[in-house]
Amino acid sequence: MKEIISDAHILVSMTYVSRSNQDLSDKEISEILQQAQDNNSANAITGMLIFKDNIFLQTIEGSRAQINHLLYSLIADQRHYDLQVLETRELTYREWSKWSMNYVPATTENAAIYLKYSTTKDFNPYLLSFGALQGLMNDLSN
Amino acid sequence: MELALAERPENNNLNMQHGARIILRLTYISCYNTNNANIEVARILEQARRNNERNGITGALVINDSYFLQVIEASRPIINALLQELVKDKRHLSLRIVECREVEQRRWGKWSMKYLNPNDLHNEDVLKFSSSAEFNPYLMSASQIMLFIEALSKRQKQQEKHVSEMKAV
Repeated sequence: MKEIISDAHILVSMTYVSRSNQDLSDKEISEILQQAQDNNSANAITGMLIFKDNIFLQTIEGSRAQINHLLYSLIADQRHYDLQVLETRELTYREWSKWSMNYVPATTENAAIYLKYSTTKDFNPYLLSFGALQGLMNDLSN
Repeated sequence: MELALAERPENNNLNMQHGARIILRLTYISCYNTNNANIEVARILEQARRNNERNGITGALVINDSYFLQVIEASRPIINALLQELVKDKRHLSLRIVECREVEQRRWGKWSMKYLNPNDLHNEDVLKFSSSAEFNPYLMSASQIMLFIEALSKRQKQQEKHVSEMKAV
């Protein structure tokens, strides 16, 4: 194919939610996180991860090609299921540029923030619209 | 009598379905691996007619010999089910999700899949949203792609109007 696939200039973010296949210990989480941070640094990907009640809520930012490659790996990854892409959009600038992967652990202090955006007491991003999740992620990282 | 918790539909375990109230609009592009774009269009539109109405899917499709451009509107779980199929579909090369966002209302609600024929394009339509005269969606931003589809849709409407006027004469 002679066409030029040249979209390396386009910066996008993708936000998704998924469920872990098994209960993860703090150690396992930090291993997953370390791996993500290493891969992301190498590929100029930045982002934000929340893990609570075995649910991953993650935003990844990078070139459109990189983010699409990552989507393929995410779909193939057997460690999680119920993967739902919530949003993908072009960015003028990154929101999480300081972090190869900013991780916010679930703490009881954060309960008020979950409640702020939820109809339920539990953390259930599957219920929420993207706007609410964006607010939630911003509040949690502050 | 109060229903047992498990029998209440809102307490079922299909949490994944919770996003079903949300309309997502997915826009993607690919280099489509086909020998005959016309046959492919006919096949896709036929499949859309059968599946889309039933599943509340609407959208628009642009195909030429090089590129595939599609907008799909549906509930969040349905868009994600389609996305899983899409990444496995070997005919789509260099697949790129251009945009996937929540919308209040559908743009293509009248069509199970509106086919926009790129042959109706005028050079100015391409040039208006591109740095070169050749249509290459990979070089376009998400909003340029949206504007391009709107321009194409408008062009097609003019064409249809023209044809029906000719018939009337």
